[in-house]
Amino acid sequence: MDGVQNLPPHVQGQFMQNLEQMQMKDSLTMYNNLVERCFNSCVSSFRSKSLDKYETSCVENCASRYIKMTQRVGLRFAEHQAMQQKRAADAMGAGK
Amino acid sequence: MNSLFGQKEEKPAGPDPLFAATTEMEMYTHLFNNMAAACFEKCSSRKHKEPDLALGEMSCSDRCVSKYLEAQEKVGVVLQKANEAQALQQKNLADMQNALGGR
Repeated sequence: MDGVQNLPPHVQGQFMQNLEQMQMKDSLTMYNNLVERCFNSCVSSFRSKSLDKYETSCVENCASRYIKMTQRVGLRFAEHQAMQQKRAADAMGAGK
Repeated sequence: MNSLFGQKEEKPAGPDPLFAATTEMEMYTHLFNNMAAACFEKCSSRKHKEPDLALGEMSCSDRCVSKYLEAQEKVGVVLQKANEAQALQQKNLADMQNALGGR
């Protein structure tokens, strides 16, 4: 993340503010997408106005699994980024 | 953004560094969201009987992340080559037009 790491100090405050706003928007978007995804997966009949117990547990499980998978993906992604940065740092060190 | 287009270094020389950093952050956010969605679609069963991930689903998601990032690199290389080819084509066209206009 070169652009982020090499950011000059006088714009870092503004960047943190932008980052906060982005994170807020992103969590709302994720919430909406999650609801749509789990609804599409779990709900297929419209005989009644409310969710039956199977649909309820399906939706809850779906949300829980998605969150767990997102956490795991985030972990692996961070590992991958760290490995890449290490490789880049090693390559730069070897070049000197 | 050294992981964006096949490990090539890109210096944000011209554009505003705040804009570059914000755009880079947005790009990583989109990458993460798309990756999580794709891996969930490919790796988790539709039944959703349990609130926890099964062992097979967990190892599937690990491999999914690795493959997704590798695919991203390869697509980046293809895109970069296409951009270079297009730039070369435009340069040739401009040269030709200059040559014609010089008569």
